[in-house]
Amino acid sequence: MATNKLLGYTLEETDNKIVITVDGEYATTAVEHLRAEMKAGRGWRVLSSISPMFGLARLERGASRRAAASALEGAELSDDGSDTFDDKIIDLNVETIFKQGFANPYDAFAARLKEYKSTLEEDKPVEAKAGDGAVEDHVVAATTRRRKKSPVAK
Amino acid sequence: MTKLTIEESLLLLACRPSLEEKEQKHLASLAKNVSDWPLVLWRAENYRIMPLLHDWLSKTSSLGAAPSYVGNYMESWSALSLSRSKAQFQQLGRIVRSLEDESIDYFLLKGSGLAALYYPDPSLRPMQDLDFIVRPEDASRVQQILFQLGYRHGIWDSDSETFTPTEVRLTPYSLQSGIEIPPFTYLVRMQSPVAEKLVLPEWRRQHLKCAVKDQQLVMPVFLDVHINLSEGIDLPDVWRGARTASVFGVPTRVQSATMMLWFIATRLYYEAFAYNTLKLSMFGDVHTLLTQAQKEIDWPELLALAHKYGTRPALYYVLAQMRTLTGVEVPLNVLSVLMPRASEIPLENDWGDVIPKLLSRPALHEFTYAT
Repeated sequence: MATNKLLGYTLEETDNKIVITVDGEYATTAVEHLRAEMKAGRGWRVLSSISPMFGLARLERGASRRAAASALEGAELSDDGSDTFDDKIIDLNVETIFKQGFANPYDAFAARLKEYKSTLEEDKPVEAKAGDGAVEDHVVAATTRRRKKSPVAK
Repeated sequence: MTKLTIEESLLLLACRPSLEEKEQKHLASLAKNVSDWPLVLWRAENYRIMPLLHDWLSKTSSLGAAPSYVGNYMESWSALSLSRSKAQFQQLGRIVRSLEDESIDYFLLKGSGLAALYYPDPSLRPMQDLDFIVRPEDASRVQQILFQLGYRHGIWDSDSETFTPTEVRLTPYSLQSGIEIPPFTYLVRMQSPVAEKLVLPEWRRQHLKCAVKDQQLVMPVFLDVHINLSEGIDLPDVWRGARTASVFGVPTRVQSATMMLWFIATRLYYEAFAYNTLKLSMFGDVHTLLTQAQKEIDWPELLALAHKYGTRPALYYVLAQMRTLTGVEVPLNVLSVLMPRASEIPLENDWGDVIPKLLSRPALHEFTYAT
């Protein structure tokens, strides 16, 4: 039984140009969507989705996301300003580099802290390890307890 | 009345660079009774108040109340942050000199101005970047000046320690539609104050953005050059009250205390609700301004800005809670004007009280029907 294709595409390369042909029942809608994206100044999203250099997956990841957006900025998508500066700036600002906010859940932090504690303990003399009874988790320690060796060079 | 937990109370005290003596005693007393230090650390790291927390615990002889690895974690984090602050402030001086030499109109923005002017120890206020504002018509010249100083647009990857430069062409269109130039980076190398194996990957990639190899620390100094404070702000308002002040003994252009207060208090609120970025460090910033620059604040001007740009709810919730939680002076008639009312058209961007959001604490008002 013949089935109607909903959406498909073919890629052809001629004269260093890539021609993407979209066909199927939703082809018209898909092209209209792409045109709307371009018109709304979001052409870089279209480019990022097809470019091997600026893959969408990279755009989703903090610093790489920023790298991709920076590269796009350098690429000068259009001269008429149809790709707005703002769209790119969103990905370029320092807030993105530092992934502001709570990037990791508390459990992940607690696990990392345990690793940190283990690393510290590796450096401690054997008798100190035994005497200290390992470093406590979630402990209310005595205020008079002696400080451990500082990790910071003085 | 909702009672804060010991951990929340400790963080709300430690986020401020200045505390009264009785508040310091309170902090020390809280530290003795903390039951969840990892939670305190997790919050402090993400709130960006680790150096302040470490400093207050040290000053009040309370570090011993925490497990030693917690103290070590804070100490290492703060030492790296201090290294970054030193590099940033050295660069700040270079940039200011160059802008002054070229007669560029500018002023320091956000933490760059606030920490240097009002923090007793500027290095206790970690900054992700340096922020300057310049006139849009000077942006291209400033870009060239920064190139001459060795700044580049591009991406630095802490894992591979590689910098990938990118070309950024500023066009009249980009300057008209944007509020900042894509950031610049300058790499500073120095001796690491912390053993390499103790510099956690999350610090390198996110919180402190650095690399360490063979005890050599590579610290990128990021620089944001703004041409507006935010979308839709009139440029005369942006530059209102900009003045010259002594920053580390050098005459430097800075924002007025009123504009700083308006901008930082509003930003604290919007960052929390619009971007889910909870920065208790900015709560400390607002407190610092209200204590260190109280006499410089022009309250009528602040109210005019709040009305013009629709930031009344942000200012109301931040300033009202600041008054309640810290006792700092905020005129009641100012709060009365800022307060959203049931008789007016509901205000945009009124997300309610900011403290429950900052503490990630569900807060439900209890209502009952009138009889």
